[in-house]
Amino acid sequence: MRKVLGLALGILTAIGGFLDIGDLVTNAVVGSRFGLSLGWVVVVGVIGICVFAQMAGRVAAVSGRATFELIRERLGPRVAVLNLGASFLINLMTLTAEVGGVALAIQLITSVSYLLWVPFAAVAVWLVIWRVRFTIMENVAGLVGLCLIGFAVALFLLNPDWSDLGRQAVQGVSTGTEKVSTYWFYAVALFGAAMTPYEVFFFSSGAVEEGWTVKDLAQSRANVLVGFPLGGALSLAIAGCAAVVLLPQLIAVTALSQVMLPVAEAGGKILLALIILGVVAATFGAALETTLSAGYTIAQFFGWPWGKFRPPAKAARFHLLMIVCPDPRHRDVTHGGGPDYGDRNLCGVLSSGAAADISADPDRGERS
Amino acid sequence: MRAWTWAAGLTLSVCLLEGCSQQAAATDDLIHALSESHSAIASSVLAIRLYAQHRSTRAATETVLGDMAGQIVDAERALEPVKIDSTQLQSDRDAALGAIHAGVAALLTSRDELQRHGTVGSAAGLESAGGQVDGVLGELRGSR
Repeated sequence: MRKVLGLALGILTAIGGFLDIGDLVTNAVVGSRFGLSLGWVVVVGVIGICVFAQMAGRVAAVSGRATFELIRERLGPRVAVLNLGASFLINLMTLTAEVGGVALAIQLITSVSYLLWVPFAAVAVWLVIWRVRFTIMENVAGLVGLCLIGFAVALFLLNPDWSDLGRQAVQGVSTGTEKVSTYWFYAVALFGAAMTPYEVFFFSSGAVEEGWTVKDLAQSRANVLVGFPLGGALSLAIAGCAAVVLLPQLIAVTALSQVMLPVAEAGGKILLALIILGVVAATFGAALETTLSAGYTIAQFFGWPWGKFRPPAKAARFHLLMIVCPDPRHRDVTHGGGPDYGDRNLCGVLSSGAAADISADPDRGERS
Repeated sequence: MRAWTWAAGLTLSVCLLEGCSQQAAATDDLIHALSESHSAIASSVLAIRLYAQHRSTRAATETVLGDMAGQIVDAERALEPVKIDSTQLQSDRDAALGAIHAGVAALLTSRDELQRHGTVGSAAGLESAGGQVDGVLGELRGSR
C-alpha cells in the first residue's frame, strides 16, 4: 500500500512540477497566435524530456552519481566547462524568470506591482531551500501545482469545437496569417520550454538526494513516463484555452494576466483563484528547482560536497551558492533580464532556453 | 562608357529598392503598432466584461488593464522613430497615431476608473477606440 501511495505521489508531483513560467506563457502565446498547430512540438518536447530524465534518473539510481559528475568525468574538464557555462547561464535566466513569475502571479492576487514582490519572492525561495526538507519541498510544490489541472477543466467548460481543435493539431506546419519564420521561432521556443536543462539536473541530483537505488527504478520510470506526458497534456490545454478564447479576437498574449482571461471566461472566480494558486506553486517550485540546480551543477563540476541532505557546515560552498543565486541584485529583473524585458513580453519564453534574442519580436506586424 | 552606364543603372536600382524597402518597413511598423494596440484594447474589453459579469476579480482586472496600458503606450512610442518620406506615409502615420492615441486615452480612463471607484462604467469608449484602430489597420493592410 505504501508503495502504491509513493508511486501515486511521485506521478502527481511530476505532473504538478512539469509546468513552469516558460510552459505557462509560451503555450498561451502560441495558442493565441497559431491555435494548436504547434501542438506537435509539445509532443516532441515531452518525448525528449522523458528520454533525458529517464536516462539521468537511471544512471543516478544505478551509480549513485549525478549528471554533472559524469559529464566532467567522461568529457574532461575543458569540454565540461563549456557545458557548465551554458547550463549555468540558462539556469540563472530561468531562475530570474521563475522568481518574476511568482511576483507576477502574486500581483494577480493583490494588484500590487510585481516589482515590489520580486525581493520577497527571492527571499522566500532562499528560506525554503535553507529550512525545508527536500522531499517536503518537492512534494508540496508539486501537489499544489496540480491546481493547474484547472486549465484542462477550463478547456472543457469552454465547450470548444473539438473537431476544429483536432484539425488544428494534426494539420502539421500551418502558419495561418503569420510569417513562416515566426512559426519556426515559436516552435524552437516551445521546444525549449518543454525541455529545460534544469529539469534534468534536478531529476538526476534529486535521485541522489533521495537515495534512489536500483529498486526505485520502477517508480522513476512511472514518474517520468506517466507524469511528464500528463504535464504535457496540461501544456496543450493552456494552448487550447488561448486558441478558443483569444485567437478569434486576435488577442496576442504578451502578459501573464492575459493567460487568465480564458480561465475566468470558463469557470469564473473560483477557477481563476485555483489557477493563480497553481501558477504561484508551479513558478515557486521551479524557482526552488533552478536554484538547487545552479548549486548542483557547479558543486558537481568542481567536486565539492553537495546536497541538501548534507548540513551547511559539511557542504558550505554548495549552500553558499543557494544564498547567492536567488539574490535579485545580480540581475536587473526590471530591465532586460526579467519578466519586464524589452516590451514586457514573454518572461516565459526567456526561460525556454532557446538561446536566442527573444526580446526582439520576430514578427513585425505580419498578422493580417 | 558602357561600364559607367551599368554603374549608374545599378546605383539607381539600389536607391529605388532601398526607398521601396524603407517604405515597406515603415508600413510594417505602423501595422505592428496597430496590431499591438488592437490586442491591448480587445484584452481590456474582455477583462472589463468578465469583471462586470462577476467572473473575474478586481485585482486580476486591474492587472490586465495595467499591463495593457503599458503595451499600448509602448505601441504609441514605437511610432515616433518611424521615418516619413512621403505624404502618403505621413497621412498613414497620422491616422495610426490618432487611433492609438484614442485607445491610450480610453484605456487609461478605464484603468483609473477601476482603481478609484472599483467599477468601470462602460467599455463603450474602449470599443469605439478599438473600432478606430481596426479601421486604420484594415486600410493599411488593404493598401499593401
